[in-house]
Amino acid sequence: MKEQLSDNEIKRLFRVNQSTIEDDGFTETVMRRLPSAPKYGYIIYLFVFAGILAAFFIPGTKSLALMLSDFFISLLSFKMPSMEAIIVTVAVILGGALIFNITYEEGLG
Amino acid sequence: MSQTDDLFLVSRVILFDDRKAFDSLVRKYQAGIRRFFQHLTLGNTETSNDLSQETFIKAYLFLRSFRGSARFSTWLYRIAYNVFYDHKRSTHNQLQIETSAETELVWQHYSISEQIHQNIDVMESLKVLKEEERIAIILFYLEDFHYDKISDIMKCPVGTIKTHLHRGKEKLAVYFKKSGYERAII
Repeated sequence: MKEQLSDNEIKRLFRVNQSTIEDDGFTETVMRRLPSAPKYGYIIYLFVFAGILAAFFIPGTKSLALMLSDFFISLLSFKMPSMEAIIVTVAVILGGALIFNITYEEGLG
Repeated sequence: MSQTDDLFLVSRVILFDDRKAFDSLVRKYQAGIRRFFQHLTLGNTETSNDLSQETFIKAYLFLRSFRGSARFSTWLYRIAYNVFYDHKRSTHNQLQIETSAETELVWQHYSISEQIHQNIDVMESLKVLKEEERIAIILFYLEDFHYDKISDIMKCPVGTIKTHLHRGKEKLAVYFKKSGYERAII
């Protein structure tokens, strides 16, 4: 018959002499060794700012804003948004996510 | 700090490159990761710290590949596991880790008369295990991971993990008996 140990007994044996590992500057060392922040991170904020400006000044963006507000107001009042509003909102979210992803990946690279 | 807190911190790092958030993650997990490497390298503190640092740096660089469906700790230990094997490959297996072929040699050093006490040397006991068994034993008994999480970390089926644990336990039982620790044997 093979000898066997109980799980609790092994845990107890392994942990009885375990000392706590103090940080002792380890975290600071890791933080110092991290690569610098993405150089192109500001591009994200630039796009956001440009988008806000475009919404105010470019003809046609008013209808885009109306579609988005229609979508969110409908959701808040527990109503089904119009199909156009859904399509526009999904397109805007996907477009934004794509731009964010591309710029962030470039920044890391 | 819960899994939700981890996800919140990870989101801050990804979205705003928030170093303080990453600092919190490192502080939370450094002890576990360093202990994991210390056991894997059988007590080599210098190598353990180097590998631990490398693990956190890789975690930072690849944080965007983290999917919230898994626990952050599982994902981090998976990186640590890969870092360990990368290190082994790069140093051409020069780590002073005993293989099962050397097990008998290790046991010869432990006569019952020398080791009649209950304070078992963890590092020495781990030497009698094969590497995969050792990793499974460390993750299960020392880091408190469940079978499915260990399976995610080691990327092998749960059945294989259970086999590693079972074989590891048998070897440990023999080791403990040879070391004079009879109480552990049931």
